[in-house]
Amino acid sequence: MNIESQLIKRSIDGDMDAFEELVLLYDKQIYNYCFRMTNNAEDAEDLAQEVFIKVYRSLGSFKSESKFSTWIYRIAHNTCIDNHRKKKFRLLSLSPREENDRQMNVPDREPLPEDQMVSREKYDLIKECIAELKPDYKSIIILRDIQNYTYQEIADILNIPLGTVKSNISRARALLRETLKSRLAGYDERRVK
Amino acid sequence: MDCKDFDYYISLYIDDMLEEQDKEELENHLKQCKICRESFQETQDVISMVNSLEPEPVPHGFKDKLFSRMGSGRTLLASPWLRWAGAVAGVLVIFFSIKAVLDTGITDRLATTVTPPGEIAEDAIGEESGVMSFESPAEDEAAMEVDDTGYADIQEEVLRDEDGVDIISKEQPRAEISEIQSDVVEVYVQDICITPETLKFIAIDNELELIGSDENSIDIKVSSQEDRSIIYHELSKLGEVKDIGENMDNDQVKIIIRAGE
Repeated sequence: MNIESQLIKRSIDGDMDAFEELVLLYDKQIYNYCFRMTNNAEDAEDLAQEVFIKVYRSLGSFKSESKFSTWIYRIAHNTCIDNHRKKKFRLLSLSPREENDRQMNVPDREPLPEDQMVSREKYDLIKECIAELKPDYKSIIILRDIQNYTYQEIADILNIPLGTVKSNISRARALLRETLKSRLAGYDERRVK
Repeated sequence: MDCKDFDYYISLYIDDMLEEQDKEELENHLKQCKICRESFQETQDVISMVNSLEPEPVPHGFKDKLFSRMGSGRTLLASPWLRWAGAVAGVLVIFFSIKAVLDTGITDRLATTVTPPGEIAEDAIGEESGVMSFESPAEDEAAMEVDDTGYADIQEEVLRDEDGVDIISKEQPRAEISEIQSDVVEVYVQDICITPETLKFIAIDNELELIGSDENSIDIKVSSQEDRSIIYHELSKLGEVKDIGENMDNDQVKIIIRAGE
């Protein structure tokens, strides 16, 4: 039995130290998944905690023949999707003015040397482009291109056929590429001026 | 094949997920087509940019906050007798709620569809203990546009299927869209996150009129075949859908959430 399985077993028996170790094994990955899905640190923290609470409550039903990482990501994915639905519903009740204010809320930045600014701005652009993808594409980009999961693992996590994973990865990347290209074109124009 | 088809292959080619024949075909095309060569290069660049994103640091005090939020959960799991007492309390609450509904005879329809208290109680306990193999939405072949609202419109999806212009629908024909026939539907979900609240959001998203709800079901008004099709489509993303009602002419549908296997 590997360390992870031992920690799971001990956690099921109520050993909180073991559960704490289990949390430490996955907190970075799950927090980062939630962060990229929401593009908001506060929401990501809240959701990641929700994920671990669900994991704790449901450990008893985890089947040891499945991969724990797949299982926990699946919980994270479902939690983020559920949150997205709730948020979308709440946004419907906001006035357009408030919604615009939210979108225009760009954090202040310290001035940077030219080179650093170029790479940081491009870096921020790609983050923005990911944040704008619809949840299904966003999750697939995070799992494949940030967290390097295989196509089959992604199919298991998202519970979708392998063919859908393939097509969604292709579409999400193509969309990201085109969005980034048009944003970069606008960005370069601004720089020339 | 045209450049659009090859564009679909580029991503798979980069990940070495193409069949040998498609791979050769793409390689030959890339030799001849400048536009696709550029797309190939740009796709590779995007992937490496995404891959180089630094991970965000976990907020300070994350674990402490988590464990303080879990305070009650910790006691519940650590003390078997408390779990047992909680489960019994849950069973009693559900039993009396259902009994109250049946006694007041609010609707004849409900009385014919409600499951025996024991069975419902089992579902409730199952849900509480967390049967979580997590059924997430099935296929979603949505449009290639940036969609900040997230969920593609059902009608759009159906139209795309009929048009058959979508690469995916050529490859993997989507199962024929079915619809709800009767006035009572059970959906067997494996995700404990799915509650009547989730169904309410789905109803609102699809502009379906909500009539009522209780702890494990909601009632929705259906005014057209299209509504019935939308309900079926949305529910089938959550889990297995069973159409169990007997009345085919009712303009309401009761959707009952059940714990899946």
